[in-house]
Amino acid sequence: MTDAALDADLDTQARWIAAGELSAAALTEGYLARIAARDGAVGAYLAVDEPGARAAAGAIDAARARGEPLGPLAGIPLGLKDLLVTRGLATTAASRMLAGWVPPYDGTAVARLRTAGAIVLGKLNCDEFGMGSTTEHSALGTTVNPWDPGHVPGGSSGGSAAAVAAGLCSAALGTDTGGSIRQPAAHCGVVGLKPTYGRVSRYGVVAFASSLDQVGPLGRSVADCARVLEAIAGADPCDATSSPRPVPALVAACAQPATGLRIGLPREYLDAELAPALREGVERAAAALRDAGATVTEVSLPHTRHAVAAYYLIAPAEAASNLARYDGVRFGHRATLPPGAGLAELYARSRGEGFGAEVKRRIMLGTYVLRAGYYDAFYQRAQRCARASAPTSTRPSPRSTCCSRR
Amino acid sequence: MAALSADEVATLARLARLALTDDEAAALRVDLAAILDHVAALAEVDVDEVAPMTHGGAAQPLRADLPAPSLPVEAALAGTSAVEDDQFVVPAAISGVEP
Repeated sequence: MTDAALDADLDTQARWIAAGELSAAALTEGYLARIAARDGAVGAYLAVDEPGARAAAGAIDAARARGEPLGPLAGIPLGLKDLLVTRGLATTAASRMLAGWVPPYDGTAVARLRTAGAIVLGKLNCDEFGMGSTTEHSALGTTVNPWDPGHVPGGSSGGSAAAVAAGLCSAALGTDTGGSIRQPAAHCGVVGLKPTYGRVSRYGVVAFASSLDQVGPLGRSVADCARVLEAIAGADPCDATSSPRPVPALVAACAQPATGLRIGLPREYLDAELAPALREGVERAAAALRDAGATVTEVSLPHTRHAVAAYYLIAPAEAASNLARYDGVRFGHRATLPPGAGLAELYARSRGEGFGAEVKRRIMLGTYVLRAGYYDAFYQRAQRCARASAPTSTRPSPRSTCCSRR
Repeated sequence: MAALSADEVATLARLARLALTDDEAAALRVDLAAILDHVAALAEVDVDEVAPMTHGGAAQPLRADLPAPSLPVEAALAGTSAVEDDQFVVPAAISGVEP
């Protein structure tokens, strides 16, 4: 397998596979070989599903040989953040709480990828339950930034961003609650998109903060992300918050000129805290968009400085509620109890042993702000303040707190 | 804000069903106070005329109320080994009572 095929864009890979110039099996083997050779140093994958990937690739090649129509991602090997529920393939949320849990169903985004013909290579590391921005809060492994192993890949979708940047999959899925796709994509120099809330179904996504969680693509180009998003977007009867609006032709839109686009540049994002190199990058991008015919206008989002505080109330409050389901009874870690211990002790010990420090901190904070008498002062006030959006990061990728992995 | 009291953290841990070590509880007294200090800045925002934002504002659709297949019992029970007679096994909920 040549690097040219492995590093080609999704449109090229799909066309070569459809034309029989490249087999899905060969492309899949190429990535599996790269993962075996390179991922020891990167740590993007928590699990690689070699048998599943080979079987899916073989089925695509057989379907093509029979002359059957192929989906838009037929034979394209992808990686999935380990917050996406996969039937028959362990889904851990990078937590000891879920280590070894094998889900009985596929989430909607995963099912739609499979319907589109995509090959699932494996599950990618992240901060535990998506709570973090460096991937250092994973309980199950360390991921480094492929550009420099002394730096973090960002997070929480750090495994997804690192895998794309290191060429260990054609593209990947991540999830974003408060920057968890956009920020690691920025740190790893790839494209990442948090779709508008409701654009992609949350069914089968390990829940963190339900009013903010979204699934989205990470890829080597905007067009690659458009192709993946078009496959997973759209209304889903299993998620009442998924949008009924039709999915636009996103891939076709990538070929349209930028003429007529109006792009806002929030001046609060370009404040004194922004590292000079990042400011220059934003200004270069704005100039390139102007050259391409777009109108770039400075706008003001005056509540930007309150965005993090609002996030730090809304997300933990919803997490405290969502993570109540991990109680040691139906799935996940179950504590061994001393004789005579009761149900309350099973809950408390299983959760105390299964969750990491950052998850406990957020559950405790969420429990605090949701208490009777505090709800209006904290959670509801934060929801009222949540009319601002936030940049991904104001600094380059920080150095890792530990320089070796595993 | 000063650190939360040890009692306050113990109450929260009980409400959150979290068994914490002494070290964890001590760290949380300081951490939670620091975060609450930070989020207190929201008090300065005038939100009297602003409705809370929950999500994109889409209507809540209802599906047709029709029978459909559900998860098979074996699949639903496959996530734990504490199973008996097709049911999850848990310790007694009330102390002093034999299960």
